[in-house]
Amino acid sequence: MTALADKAAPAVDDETSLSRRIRAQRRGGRDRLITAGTVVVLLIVWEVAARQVNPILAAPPSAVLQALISMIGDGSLPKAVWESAQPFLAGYLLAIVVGVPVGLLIGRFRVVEAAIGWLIIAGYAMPMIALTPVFMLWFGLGFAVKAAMVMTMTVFAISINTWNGVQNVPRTLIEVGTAFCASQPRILGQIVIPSVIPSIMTGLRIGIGKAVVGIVIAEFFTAIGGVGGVIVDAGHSFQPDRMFAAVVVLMLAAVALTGLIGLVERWLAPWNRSITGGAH
Amino acid sequence: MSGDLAVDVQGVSKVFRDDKGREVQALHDVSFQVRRGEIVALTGRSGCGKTTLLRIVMGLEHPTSGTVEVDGEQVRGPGVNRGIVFQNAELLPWRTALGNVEFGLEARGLPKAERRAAAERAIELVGLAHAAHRRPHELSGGMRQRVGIARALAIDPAVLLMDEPFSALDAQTRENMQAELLEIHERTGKTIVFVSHDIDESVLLADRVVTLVPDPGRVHGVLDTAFGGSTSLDERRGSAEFALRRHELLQLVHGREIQQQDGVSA
Repeated sequence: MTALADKAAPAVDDETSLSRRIRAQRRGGRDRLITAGTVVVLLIVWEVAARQVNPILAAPPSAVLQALISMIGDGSLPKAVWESAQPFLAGYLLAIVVGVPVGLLIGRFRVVEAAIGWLIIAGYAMPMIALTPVFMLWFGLGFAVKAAMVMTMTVFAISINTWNGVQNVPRTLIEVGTAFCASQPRILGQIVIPSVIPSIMTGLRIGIGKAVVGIVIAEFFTAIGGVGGVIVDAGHSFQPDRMFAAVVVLMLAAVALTGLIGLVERWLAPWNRSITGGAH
Repeated sequence: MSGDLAVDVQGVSKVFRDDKGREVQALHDVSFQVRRGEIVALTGRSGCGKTTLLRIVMGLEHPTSGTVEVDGEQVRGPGVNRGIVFQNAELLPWRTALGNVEFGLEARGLPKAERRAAAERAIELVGLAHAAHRRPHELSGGMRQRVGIARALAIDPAVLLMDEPFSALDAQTRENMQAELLEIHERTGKTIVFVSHDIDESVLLADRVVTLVPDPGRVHGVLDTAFGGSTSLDERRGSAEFALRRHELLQLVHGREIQQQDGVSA
């Protein structure tokens, strides 16, 4: 038995959430149609415009597609992607392993914040690209310099977002822990860390974009292998179709990786999207 | 003497320091008692210190002077003899309704099965058995607050302390929740102390209303507002007693003495 006075209330709630979902779905379908439309228009404009100019300066999408297929066919593109992916993953994972704990420590302890908070802010604000020549002196021209660039480009974004997340843990939620006599470790594990997960994921998502820039910059400078190397080579040999093909691959990779982070976030923190997401 | 007292607040004062280091007296020499099984409202205009007073009883703030006893024990911090309901429920968004109710029991170190059973009883008591496995974002505001109440009841406290528990809800839901609170009180016989700035709510739900006035926060009067027997909220609202007590409470809240409705103005 229940002491429920308004038995109809939950049903009403279900109905409103259902109608909201239907509306969101309908709007989602319309939005996707608009997006597809602008993609098509852009491709047509690009195709028409690129056919008007000197073929050593630009390539239409049809030529880029052909180049893409031939580069996949002769194995040069998969090889380049693989060469870029290894230092990319190594640098990115290192940035997570270092960035998240550092962010947690700065957010949780004032002393740590006073000691190294400024360093994280400075590192985040500074254009890390400026360090590339020094990194080449330190790490040479191979795997290590690429991983180091990815790591330094990414780690500050991850740290600063994690730090921010710890500071924004709702005080009232911590008070719930206090009010129900939870121990400090329990408050940390059951309230603080789950609260910070969405901020960490934001850092990881921003980090993907920064990491892609990092790997490309490193490969531009070293010009040995990788997708960045393909772009430099194609540019130097007046092959815009091959160049754009490599750029498209970079773009797709960045979008796919960002989407992957989104999936991980939805799996780790399914409540977050529904609270902050713009579904209403 | 204190055997039938659930809450005993004696001479509580609270001085805060503001940003500029100036001292602000939030509460001055506040005393009131709550008997076992009673529903008592703390009300007053904003800035009268009613929430600070409740937080002191909760153990989330410490009084500058004075003492608070709950169930015969002096309050030195949060304790298991008080179940706390927050204004906006404050559920953990990553836990289901049932998981949130279990949270309060986990700190107690109960065996898992016992914990689960207690949480299920509490969630059934507030009429949410059908939504036990939903997360807070899948619940309406009223349902979330039910979970908040269930979480507080699950630890079987001597006193239920509620900080403006229904103020964030829409009018319809608020009325349902008020009726439900009275039903829960009838079922469990729990002592309930709640803060409200809503005059009607205080008169309708409470057996007695403690009114506070600001600068500094102090008790201005205690109004007996018990409706005999188990009258429904609608009956209470329509009664002449309700209109009269509402009028009296308004006088107190505005710092005046109670006077007859047809009396001359102060």
